Amino acid sequence: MNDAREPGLFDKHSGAFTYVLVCLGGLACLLLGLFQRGAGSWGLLPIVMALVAIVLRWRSGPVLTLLSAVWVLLARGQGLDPFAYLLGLVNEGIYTILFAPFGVTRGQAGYWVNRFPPKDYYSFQALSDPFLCGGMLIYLAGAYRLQAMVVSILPIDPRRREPAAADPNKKVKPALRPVLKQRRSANLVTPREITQLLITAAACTGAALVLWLWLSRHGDHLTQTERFWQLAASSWRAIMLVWLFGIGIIVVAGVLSYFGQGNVPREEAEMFLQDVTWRETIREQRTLMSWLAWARLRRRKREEEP
Amino acid sequence: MLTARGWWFLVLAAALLLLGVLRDLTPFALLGLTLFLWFLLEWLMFAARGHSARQHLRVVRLVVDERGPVDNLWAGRSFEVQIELWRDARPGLPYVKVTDLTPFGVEDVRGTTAADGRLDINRPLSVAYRFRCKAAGEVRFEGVRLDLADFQGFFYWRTFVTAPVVYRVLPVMLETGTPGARAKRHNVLPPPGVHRLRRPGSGSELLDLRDYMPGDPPKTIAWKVSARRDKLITKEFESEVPVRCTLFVDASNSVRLGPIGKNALSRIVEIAAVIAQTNSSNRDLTGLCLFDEAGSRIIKAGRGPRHRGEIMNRLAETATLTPATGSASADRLTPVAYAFAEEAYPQLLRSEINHVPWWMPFWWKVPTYPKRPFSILSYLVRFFLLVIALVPFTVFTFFLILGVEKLHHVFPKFIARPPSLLFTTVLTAAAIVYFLFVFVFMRVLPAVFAPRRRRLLKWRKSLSALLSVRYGLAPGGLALLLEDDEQYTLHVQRFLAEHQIPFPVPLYDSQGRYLFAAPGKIDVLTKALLQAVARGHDNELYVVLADLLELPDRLDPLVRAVRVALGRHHQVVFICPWPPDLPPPRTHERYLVAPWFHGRSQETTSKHVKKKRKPRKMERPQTDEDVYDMLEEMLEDRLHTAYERVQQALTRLGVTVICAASDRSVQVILDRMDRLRVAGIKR
Repeated sequence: MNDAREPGLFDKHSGAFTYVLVCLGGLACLLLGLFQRGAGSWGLLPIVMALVAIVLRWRSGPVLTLLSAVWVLLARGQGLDPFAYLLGLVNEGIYTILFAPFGVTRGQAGYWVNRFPPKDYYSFQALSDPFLCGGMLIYLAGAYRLQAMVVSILPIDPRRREPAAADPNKKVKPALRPVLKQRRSANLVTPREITQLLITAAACTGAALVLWLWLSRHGDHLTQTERFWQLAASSWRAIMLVWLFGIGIIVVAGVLSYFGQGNVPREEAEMFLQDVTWRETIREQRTLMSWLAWARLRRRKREEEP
Repeated sequence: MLTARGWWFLVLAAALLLLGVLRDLTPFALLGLTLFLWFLLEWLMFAARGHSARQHLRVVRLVVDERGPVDNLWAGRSFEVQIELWRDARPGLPYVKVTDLTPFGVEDVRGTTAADGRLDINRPLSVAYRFRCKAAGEVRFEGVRLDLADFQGFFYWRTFVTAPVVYRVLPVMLETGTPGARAKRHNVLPPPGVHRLRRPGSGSELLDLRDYMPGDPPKTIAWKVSARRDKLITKEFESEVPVRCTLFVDASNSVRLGPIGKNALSRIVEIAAVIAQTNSSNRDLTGLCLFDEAGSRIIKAGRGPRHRGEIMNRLAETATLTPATGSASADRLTPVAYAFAEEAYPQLLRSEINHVPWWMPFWWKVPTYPKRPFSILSYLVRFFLLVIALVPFTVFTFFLILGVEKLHHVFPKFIARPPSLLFTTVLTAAAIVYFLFVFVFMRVLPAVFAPRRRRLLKWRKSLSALLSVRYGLAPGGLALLLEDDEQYTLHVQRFLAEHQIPFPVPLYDSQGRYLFAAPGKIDVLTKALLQAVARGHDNELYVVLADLLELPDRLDPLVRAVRVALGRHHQVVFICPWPPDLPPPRTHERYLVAPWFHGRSQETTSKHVKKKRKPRKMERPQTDEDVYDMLEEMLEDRLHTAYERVQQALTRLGVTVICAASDRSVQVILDRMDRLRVAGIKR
C-alpha cells in the first residue's frame, strides 16, 4: 500500500500551489464583499484566519473562516465591533445566569447601550453580496481541495497503516505504525477542474441570488394574500424552501435509486430476494432448520454408537 | 457516503441558511443558499457517477518476469504485477483510487499497490509492483478496491471490482547434491529412461541360450553354438523396460495443518516435485497418486514436458489445501471471515440487500447442539428471578385493590367491590402484559451486557447471507447457516480456504480427541497401493510420502499391501514428514545408507545430536517457559516413539523409512532409482 506524499504548499509545479492561489483569489473577493458591507478593518479577521489555517494546515480552517466572517457581519449588523459584540454576549450571559434569577435590574452601563445598529444593514446589496457569497464559496472549495492533497481525501481508516520500512532492521509491527493518510496526488490537478470550479461558483452564486429574490417576492405575496395562515414573510420563505429542497432531494434520490436497482448484478439481486424471503418467513425457516440440524446430529450420534 | 468533512459543511450551510431565512438576514441567507446549492450540485454529480461506477469496469492483470508475461509462477522467485483498470463507457470518474488486494501467498511486496487519478474512457489507471512467491501452491488475486471521492472529500464511496485470477506457484527445483544420469556414461549401462530386467525380451544384452523352437526368428539363432552342439540354439536377450516411479502423496488433513509454505504438506510437495523433475530429466516415467481420507486421484506414469507440467500443477493445487473441521469455533472464524468479506465483498454486505434487523442481536440465540444438559441450578436461578419479578406485581395488585375499594365507596353503583368480573379481567390482562415484559426482559438482558456477542451475531447474519448466495444454498441457506453451527463453520472454512486466508482451527474436540489424525487415509492408501501393484508391469519404485506418525497402531492393512508389492518384486520407500523445529529421530542416519552421501549425513545428524537437551523436569512447572519446555519435550518423545514404531513395522519387511527432516530424503530416492536402473549390472 502506498500513498501520495505530502506536497509543498508553495512549490510552483505542484497542484497544491494552484489551490493556494485559488484560495487567495476567493479570499480577495470575500474581503471586497466584507469591506462593502462595512466591516472595516475587522474584515481582515477571516482573511488572517484563513491564511494561518492554510499555512499551518488546520483541518478546521475553512469552518473557522466561515464562522469568523459570519461573526463579523453579525457584529456589524448590531453596530458593534466583533470584540465588543463578544464581550456584550458574555456580559449578557453572566447577567442572565447569575443576576436575573435574583431580581437584580440591569445596570445603565453596558455594551448594549452604546450600539447604533445601521438601518437596513441586512437587506440585499447587489454589489457586496455576490462577492461575499462567491468569494466564500471559492475559498471554501479551494481550501477543502487543498486539504484533500495535504491532509487526506478519503476518510481515515484506523486499520490501514503506513507500509513497512524497506530496511529490515527498522521493521515495526503493523499495529504500531502510523495510520495511513490517503491523499490526492498533487500532480493530478488540471486547469480544467479550476475552470469548472470557478464556473460552478459563479453559477451557484447566481442561482442563489435568483432563488432568494424569488422567495422574497413570493413570501411577501403570501403574507399579504393568505388570510387563514397568518405567518410572517420569513416563515413563508422557510416553508417554501423546505418544500422545494425536500421534494427535489426525494425525487432525485428516487430516480437515482430506480436506475441503480435496474442495473444490480445477479449476485446482489439474488441476495436481495433471499433477504426478503428470510425476513418474511423468519419464524418458519428457523423452526425447520433447527430441527433439521438437531435431527442430523442425533443421526450421527446413533451411527457412532456401537 | 458522506464523510465527517461533508457533514460539518452541510450542517454549517443549513444552519446559516435557516438563520438567514428565519431572522430575515439576507447576507446569511444568500451565503447559506449558495453553499447549500453547491453542496447539492456536488452530491448530485457524485451520486450519479457512483451509481454507474461499478458498471463498465474492466481489470486487466498481467504477471510478468524478465522474459514477459507468465502463466505459472515459481516458488522463491520475484515477479511483477501490472494492473490496468479500464472504463468502457461514459461518464468518467473524476477521482478514483485503485488499490490491489495483495494475496496472502506472497511476500516482500515492493513498489506501489495503489494509484489514483481520473478514470475515463480510453484512459486507464495503472498499478505495478513486484512480489515474491513464498512457497508452492496457488496465488489468488481477488481484484481491486475502488475508492471514489469528490475533490473536496465530502463524499466517499467504496466498492470492489471482483476479477479473481489464480496463478499456480510451482515448486522450486531443489539441489539434490549429485546430478542424475543425464547421459549414458558407460557401454554397459542402458540408455537413460530404461532399466534391464532379467526376463527374456528384446534388449541388446544376452540373457541366456536355449534350444531352438519353431517360430523363433532366424536372426536370434546362435550359429557358432549351434554348430558346436549340432542342433539349433537360440539366443535370449534381456528385457529393457522403462523405470517407473509412482509417488503416493498424502494430502489429508493431518499434513495440511500449519501455515501454507511451512506445513508438512509443503515439504511433501517439495520432495515430490524434485523427484518428479529429476525423473523427468532422466527420462524415467513418473506417476502420481494424491490421496486423503476421502479418496485418491491418480495420474498414470508418463514422461515428457506435458506430463511433468500436469504433475507440477496437481502438486501446486495440493499444496494450497487447508485443514477443515466441523468442530471449529464459529466465534473465532467469524471475525476473520467478516474482515475479509468487508474488504473483498463490500457490495454484498450493504444493508439494503443484507439487512440485519435491529432486534436480532438482542433476541436471537444460535442453538447449540447437542443441547445443554438439564441443570437444576439454572432452573432454580430462573425460579428465583421469577419470584423477584412477582414482588412488583404483588405490590401493584395490592394498591389496585385499595384503589378499587376507594372507588367503590365513592361510586357504589358503578364500581363493584373486588373480586368482581371487571376487576379480575383487568388484573389478568395486566398480569399477562407484565409477565410478557418480564420474559422479554430476561431474554434480552444478557445480550445487553454482551456487546461482543451482539457484534458476532450481526456479522454471522451478514456472512451467512453472503455464503448462502455464493455456494448456491439460497433461499433456505441463510436460515440453515444461522441455525447450524457445523454447517456454518464448514462453509466459512471453505470460503476462507478458497481465498487463501489463514484461519485458526482447533486441534482437539470437546472430548480431547485429536481431530487431524485422519485414520481413513490408511485404507485409501492401501487400496491405491494394491491397485498400483495390480497395474504394474515390471519392477517399479513406489514412494509413499505420508504422515503416519499419528497412526502407528493402524498400519496392518498397509503392511499387508506392502508385502504384496514386495512379493511382486517392486520396491517401496516411505518418507515421513517431520516438524522442522524438532530434532530428527535418533535412528535417522542408519537408513541414509547412500555411500557417497555418508559424510554429509553424519555431519547433519551430529549437529542435532550435539544439541544439548534440558533435563526432564518431572516436578510441577513453575513458569510458562517450563510448561512450554515440558510440552515440547513430551511432543518430541511422542513423535520419536511413533516414528520408531512405524519404522519397526515397515523395516521388518525390508522397506526403507526416511524422515523428511532434510533434503537427504530426495537423495535416497534418486539413489534407489539409479540402483533400479543398473540392477544386475556389474561395472
